[in-house]
Amino acid sequence: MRTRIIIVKSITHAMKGQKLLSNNRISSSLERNAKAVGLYGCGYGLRVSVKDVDRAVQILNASGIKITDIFD
Amino acid sequence: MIYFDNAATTFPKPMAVKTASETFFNKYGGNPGRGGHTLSIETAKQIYETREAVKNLFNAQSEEDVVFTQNCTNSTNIVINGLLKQGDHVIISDMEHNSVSRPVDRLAREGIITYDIAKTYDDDLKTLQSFKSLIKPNTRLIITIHASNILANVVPIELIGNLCNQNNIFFMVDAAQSAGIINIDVQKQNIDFLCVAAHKGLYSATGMGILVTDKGELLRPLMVGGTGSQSSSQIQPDFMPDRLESGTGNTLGIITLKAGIDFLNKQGINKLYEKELILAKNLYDGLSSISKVTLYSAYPEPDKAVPVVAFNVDGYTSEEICAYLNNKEICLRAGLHCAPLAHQKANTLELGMARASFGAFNNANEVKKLVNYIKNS
Repeated sequence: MRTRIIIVKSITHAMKGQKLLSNNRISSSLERNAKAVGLYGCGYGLRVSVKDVDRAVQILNASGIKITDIFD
Repeated sequence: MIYFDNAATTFPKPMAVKTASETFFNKYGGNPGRGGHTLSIETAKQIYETREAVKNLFNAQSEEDVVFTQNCTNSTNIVINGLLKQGDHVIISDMEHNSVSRPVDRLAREGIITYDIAKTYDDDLKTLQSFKSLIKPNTRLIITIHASNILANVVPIELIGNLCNQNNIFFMVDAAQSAGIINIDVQKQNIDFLCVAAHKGLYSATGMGILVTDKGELLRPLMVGGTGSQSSSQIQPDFMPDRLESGTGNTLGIITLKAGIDFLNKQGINKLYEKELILAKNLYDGLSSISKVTLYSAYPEPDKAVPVVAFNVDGYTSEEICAYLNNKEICLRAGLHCAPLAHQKANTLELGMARASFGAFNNANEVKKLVNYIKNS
């Protein structure tokens, strides 16, 4: 399954985001991403299936969780 | 031993809190928000779940509005020192603990702010009017203790919150003695900054406080440093709760706080409050019948008082009374309880008071023993 990781600002946002996605039936895993750590200083993100990325971004945005970047 | 010093810190803690504390040592020992390994992530989940529990308990808008601090004094200092600027005016109540009055007074002595002290009364509307009459064009913050730690009175925070809202004034509540005892709703009561001592009514380990605010971005942090976020920048994050949570937090305290809140939810805050008020009434009534006793605290009535009874015995200082009771294995607190303003109000600055305060694990027999010892003193 192809996945992408949605990087957020902090561990709190990652935890909150994971619950929100789960409530919307989007499965995700909370990970720390080395590339994001180097670029932004916080590497926490939510890895989701490629097919769910757009919907996940919408849900997170609507809840005020700012997305820093999206990586493969 | 009989423990009647729950207003200082609750003891004993519920069994679930003790059990939860062990998970810190054998399960959740990673540094939350600082690593990507399983132990760090699993510990971070515990921290987040505690934020959710606190958010729900006080009806905050978001988990990010929950800041974990060292204690309630740390919370009050974060707000007072982080919000106020040159020329601001502040109003505090006449029952404030030193955790509020000292930082406010220091800013005033430094010529940064001015402040006034509002009198509180048994009549809620009179109390409201007292705060209202002191508002000036430059009043930026009103602070009140929710319930006095010695006089037991409950201040009408919803009325004062509305007053602040109508006048664009920030509202801070010191809920050290009320959180976990009386229901608090930060949205309904228009509270901008709620300061909480988690180790009291919320039954966590000591070294644990909370600040609940949706205005954290307005505060200049007391402390800046590592947050695990935006680490490549020398600038403190502007988002919550990271903005106000620098350095490794008190994971043990936070885990026990969650267990304490679960305990409260299971027991029911209202039910516990009712039970503790009955014990306070028993003590109040028992002591009232002893002619050599002077009582100072409010009569224990729902929504009017917290379960605290303050008294003195003729011919003894409060320290002597508490030392006598300590010899009988009963723990009460004597002296000024870090609340000189409230003692000034009660005219007991020199004498102090003996204070009995109740928790979830006290019972009526313990109260009877205390009354008998005072009777026979």
